[in-house]
Amino acid sequence: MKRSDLFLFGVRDTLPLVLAAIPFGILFGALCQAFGLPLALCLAMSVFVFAGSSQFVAANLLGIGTPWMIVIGATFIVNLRHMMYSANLMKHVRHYSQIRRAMMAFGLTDETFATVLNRLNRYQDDPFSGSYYFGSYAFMYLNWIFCSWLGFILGSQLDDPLAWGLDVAMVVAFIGIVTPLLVNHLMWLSAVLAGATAILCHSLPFQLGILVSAVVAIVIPTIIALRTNSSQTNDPTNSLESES
Amino acid sequence: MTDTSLTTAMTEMEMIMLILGMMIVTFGVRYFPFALAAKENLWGKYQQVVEIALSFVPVAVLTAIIVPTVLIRDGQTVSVTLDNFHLWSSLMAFAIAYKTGHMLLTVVSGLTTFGLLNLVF
Repeated sequence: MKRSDLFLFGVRDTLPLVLAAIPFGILFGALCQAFGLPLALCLAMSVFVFAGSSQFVAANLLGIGTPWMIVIGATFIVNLRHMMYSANLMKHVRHYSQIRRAMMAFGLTDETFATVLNRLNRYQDDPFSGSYYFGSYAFMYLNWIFCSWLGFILGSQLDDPLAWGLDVAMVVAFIGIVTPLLVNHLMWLSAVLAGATAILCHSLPFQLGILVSAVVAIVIPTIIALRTNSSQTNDPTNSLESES
Repeated sequence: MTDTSLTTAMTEMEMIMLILGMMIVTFGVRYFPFALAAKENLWGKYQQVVEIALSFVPVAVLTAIIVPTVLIRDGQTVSVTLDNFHLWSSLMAFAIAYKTGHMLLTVVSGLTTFGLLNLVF
């Protein structure tokens, strides 16, 4: 298959998630505007950070006057999951140069990871394609920057951007990403623990609730998986890897 | 820059530090495993533990973001009510995702449900 075709397939397959990113990007821009952040800061986040949910969290924290170092900490917590995405794809990028790997890593969003993984799972005999990856990534990136800008411009027309409920777009996209990952009991357990803990820890400051919930929802299923592992002959990690 | 904002307390230097910091932690997290991609056993004797733990990360973090966003609409109390449109749109999206596994259908059904609820009520 030609590289340009693969690039276009990457664009095509990312369309549903780009669709969800449009209202979410607009919401992010509008929030920045509503909180009185300068346009340059809003756009710099989209251009240099390019991580939607953490930008959303950062805008909310800055809006209540949170010190910048704590915002960086919250960004780290919210984006830590991307390390798993990168670890998951690493065997496919071994033959690329470090510069190319760095370029790919910059655009490793939830959306591009989900799209690329979906293709790898669907066409087992088809090798990983850098062009496909960049197609998905370029579409997400340009759309994200444009929508942040658009939201900022539109933001001045709205009194309370949150009242529009556009954050439903992020929720729906994340549901589309998480649901196919619920392939066994431990994944379900992780989801239930994360949701319940996040509600219980909701009042913690600086988005620490996300960190606490993530730790609980990772550690408990991991311990159970390791115990099952040592007591049984069949290996739950194999089933986790092959199915997820 | 407007002087009414809460963030005018931030100097230009602080904004640059903020962007740099956010960029470094985000890129660092995404690049770290890619940078070491040539290694078979990145995590040494903890390889298996780390692999299992990492496999739970997306579900754990994304669910921890989704659930409070959907259920706590006023910033304080859990609302499982008929007028929580986020909840009904999410349940619709989840049902479609669970049944079909189709991303476009999931996103469109969730957003359409939300739009319709807002239009009708």
